Amino acid sequence: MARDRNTHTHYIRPIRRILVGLLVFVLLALFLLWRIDSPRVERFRAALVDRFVPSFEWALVPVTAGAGMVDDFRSYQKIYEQNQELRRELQRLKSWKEAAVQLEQQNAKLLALNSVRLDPKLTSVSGVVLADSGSPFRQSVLLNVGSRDGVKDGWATMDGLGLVGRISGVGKNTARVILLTDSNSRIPVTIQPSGQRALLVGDNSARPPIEFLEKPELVRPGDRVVTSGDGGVFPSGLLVGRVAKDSDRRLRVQLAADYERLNFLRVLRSRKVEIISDPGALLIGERPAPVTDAPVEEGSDG
Amino acid sequence: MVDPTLSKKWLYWILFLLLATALFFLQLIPLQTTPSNWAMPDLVVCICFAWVLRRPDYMPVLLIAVVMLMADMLFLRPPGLLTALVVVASEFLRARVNVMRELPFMLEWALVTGVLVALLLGYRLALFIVMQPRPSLWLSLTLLLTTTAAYPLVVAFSRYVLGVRKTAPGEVDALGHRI
Repeated sequence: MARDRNTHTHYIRPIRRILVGLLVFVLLALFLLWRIDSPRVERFRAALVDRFVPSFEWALVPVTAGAGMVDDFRSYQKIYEQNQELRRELQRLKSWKEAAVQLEQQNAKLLALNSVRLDPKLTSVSGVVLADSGSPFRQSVLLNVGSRDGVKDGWATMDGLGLVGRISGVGKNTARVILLTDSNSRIPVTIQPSGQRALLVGDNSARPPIEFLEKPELVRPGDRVVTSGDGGVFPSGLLVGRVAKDSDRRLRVQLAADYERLNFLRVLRSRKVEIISDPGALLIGERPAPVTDAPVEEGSDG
Repeated sequence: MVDPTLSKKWLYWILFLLLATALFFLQLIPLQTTPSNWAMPDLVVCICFAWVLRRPDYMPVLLIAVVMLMADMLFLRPPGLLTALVVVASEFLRARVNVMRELPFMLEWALVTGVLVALLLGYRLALFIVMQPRPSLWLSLTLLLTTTAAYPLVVAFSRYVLGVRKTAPGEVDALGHRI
């Protein structure tokens, strides 16, 4: 090759140009394929990441842990203030604990009285965060659990306290979690005391805004935000965070999960949502042919 | 065929692959999972441009394509788009190696900045045409700024640490061929 360069320049250059053009064409075709048939290419991407990233696990986990230690060490410098703060917090939490114990007993009694069956299928798989998205444009993390552990797309992911995100993209050994802060994240939520439904819309900022709220005047800063379970993707009642008012008077959510240090995450196994599709045979009898659909619906109203 | 120039080229190809892997690794470490409002420089693109302008034979177009495509896949970008743009940009620079050899570094920096701006515009235009959401403009601008600022550092690192420097006109390799 090195020998040929000078002697055969005349026809090597045009051939090279054609080959480079072909390469660019193939790359753009890949981009268009992704645009047209996104799931297929995204599956390929998940498989590629699944192959590539775990091969660095031996280095990723210790380096992350080491950096965490350096951070922790730095926080020792403020140990006295932290100690004071923790004492105050402990004092406050003791009163809460008392209240919680009482409520728990009361709740147990009431549940027993009603013989309510709580959802038994809500179990979880825990995973370690392997890597983040690697770019400031996307907010996601990669967990070291995947289809091998039964993880499926769409499942909710939590840290110890609050919702972190949703599984999107599962490889054999890894699964990607789209965080609530990602600009593609949309989560239906309920705002607690007023019970209003809204959508939590990620916008690449630390505190995602609440949108599609019917009556914003009923919502106050400090209200609890939990998932509503609308759309059947998420279980309802998972803690998301608290409402906070922004400087531009937009309602945002202060997330409950500790986004500074995402380390171990729990992936909740969601049950299949049973969809009630038939109008109820007891009320209107056998469903007739679809041509006479409209009168039957009318009848069921009355 | 044990050709000293070829084995040296091989060495730099492997070096580039190692550098790119190390940079990907550093970016993937989950140290910061809160959204940040500025972007780290895209050092792989910097190395590509710096080496293409110095020693085009160290930076074959297929190597650029493979590494950038891997980056597209890992960092959740639309696959192939930025790769195609960087390949075109590197070919643009490759065609100007002979001109740039004579010119001072400031002009080279200005040219590379122009290419980076063109990359940004092309990327956003392509996403606009296929009706995909564009990444936040502020972040893209900080990426442009940090990458431009990092370019001289990458050039200095390549020149003084890795020994990738411009060839003088008429310089010959070990076998006496013109580079």
